[in-house]
Amino acid sequence: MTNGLPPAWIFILGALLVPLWKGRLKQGYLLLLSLLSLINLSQLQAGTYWTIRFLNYDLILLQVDRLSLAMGIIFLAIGSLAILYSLHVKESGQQMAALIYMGSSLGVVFSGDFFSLFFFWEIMAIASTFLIWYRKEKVSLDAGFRYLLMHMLGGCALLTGIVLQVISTGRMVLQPSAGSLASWLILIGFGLNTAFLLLHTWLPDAYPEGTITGSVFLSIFTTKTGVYALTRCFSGMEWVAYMGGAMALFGVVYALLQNDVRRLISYHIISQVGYMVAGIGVGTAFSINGGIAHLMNNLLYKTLLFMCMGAVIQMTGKRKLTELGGLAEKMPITCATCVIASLSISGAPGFNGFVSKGMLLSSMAEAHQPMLEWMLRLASVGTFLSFTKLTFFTFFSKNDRMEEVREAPVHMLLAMTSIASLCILIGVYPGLLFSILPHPPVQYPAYTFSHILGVLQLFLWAGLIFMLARNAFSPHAWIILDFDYFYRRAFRWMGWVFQGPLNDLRLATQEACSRKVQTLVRLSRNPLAFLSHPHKRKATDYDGNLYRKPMGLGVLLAILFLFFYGLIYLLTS
Amino acid sequence: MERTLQKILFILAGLSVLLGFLAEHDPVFFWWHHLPFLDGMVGGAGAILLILLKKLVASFASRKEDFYD
Repeated sequence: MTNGLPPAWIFILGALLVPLWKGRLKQGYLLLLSLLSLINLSQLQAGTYWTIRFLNYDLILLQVDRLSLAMGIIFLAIGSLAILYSLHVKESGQQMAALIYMGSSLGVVFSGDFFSLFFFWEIMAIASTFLIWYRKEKVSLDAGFRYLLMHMLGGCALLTGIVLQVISTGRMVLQPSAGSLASWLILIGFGLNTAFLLLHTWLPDAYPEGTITGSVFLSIFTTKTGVYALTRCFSGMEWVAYMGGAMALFGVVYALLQNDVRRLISYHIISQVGYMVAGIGVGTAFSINGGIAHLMNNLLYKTLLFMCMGAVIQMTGKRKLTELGGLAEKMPITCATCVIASLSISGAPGFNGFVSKGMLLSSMAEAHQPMLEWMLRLASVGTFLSFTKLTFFTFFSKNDRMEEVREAPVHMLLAMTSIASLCILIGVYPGLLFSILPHPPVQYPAYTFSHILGVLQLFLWAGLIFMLARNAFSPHAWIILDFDYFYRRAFRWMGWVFQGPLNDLRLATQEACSRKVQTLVRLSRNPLAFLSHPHKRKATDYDGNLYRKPMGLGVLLAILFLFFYGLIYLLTS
Repeated sequence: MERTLQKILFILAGLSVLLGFLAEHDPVFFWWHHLPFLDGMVGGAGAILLILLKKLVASFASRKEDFYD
């Protein structure tokens, strides 16, 4: 039938066996699952497999092409390193949630129809919520509920869109009808996972509240499956491209304002995903390659940043820039990998971000999209400034309260250094990346003199401003309201409406109905009581003797009847 | 130390602009691609613009850390 299994099921079924193992055996089992899945992935070839018949539709559980294969490779590679990073976790439940989340993300990537995609999409939402809840603090529980609520709303929009699509076309294939209501609803569903502006609030709300390792997994899959789904269904949509540009700018401005290290990186996820969405929206082969290349690079350095900050939080117990600092000597390897990740995300020559960011900027210019080109250029400045701020205030600013801090555990460092090496490897040999992009052949000369000089100019002048106006970038102990302020207000208002006026109305209606029912019960017992005056009505059963008249009255009526009958007879005869 | 770093950075930034006159942007799609100091200008002016944007957003959106509690 096929020479490979659907990668999703290796992790989903494998997760069910996690509680059977303990200690080193469990760690070995988790690594073995990753290895098995990588071997399985290497066996997959382009084509459609594992088709099952369900309700008269053909569901495709495994559809392999260059795009799904590229996504599968990077998801598995980074997911496996995230498993290595999280080997110290003892809770089987958290590990199961991570494996199911990872498996369902792979399920989305290899789905060949809307129904299978939706099935894995929802498993992904539920499993990932547990990675937030497992931190077991009130803020995490609250953030997890808000995260789940938003994703359920997105899921409802997606399902409605899919149903309308199937009704109108009779087909389940991943190709919505352009401009239809169904396609807009599907776009909202995908857009929520991709963190489109106004639908993005779940991301910086929930990701910083997850467990140390849970946030690493969260940063890998949800938004990237959204970008993948957009690539499949909405590439070349100009509106989507401008949404990407707006996300890129919004993300960096908000990131610059953050004090919580993981919230800062979370806003950068929105910004970086914006780059990808802009590329997908422009829709040329070059821009789509750029978007997917940026997705793959982003997965490397963004995961590394979450790992670095996770290690810092684990070893110091602090998560705010105002409380951190002076860690460069205490955590040198973490610091070095964080600097590599920061240079990569900023697009420094020699690092992977340099290649994909250059591809995207060139593709915007080539497609004659000057506005988008400028939006992404400005976002690049913000990215460089944000990560200069993050690295400086976490590792290099003065802080005497970090004397007892030690370097992160070996397995964490191993995962971090592996990803840092990949960032440099792809930066130096971009051909490795180009070989798996969806639209071959890729001929992009990344290392031209003007490109290298341009990036250096940008870094030097932005760096100069940072140095001269450092106080403007100093962290503050505050929070910055986002659009979720309005959602929270709206939900609070809805809560008041439901608990107050609507509840009063319900009680009044219930009471009025109860009264009517009681009256009906009384009347059914004694219908003749209805004829009496309302104040004299009594709740008594029917008693015939109460209404029976004396016998003489009947005789009188009979005599009167006979009298008049006889009288009329005599007069008419 | 910090002053020295600032001086070095300033010299390098100036040097990068001069080098820009030697580099030819390839390929050119818009007139600004001809500017030898385009990225330096974007870096410097963009950083100032972002500081202003940051201050603007902070002026109406910053709250105490326990705001939602």
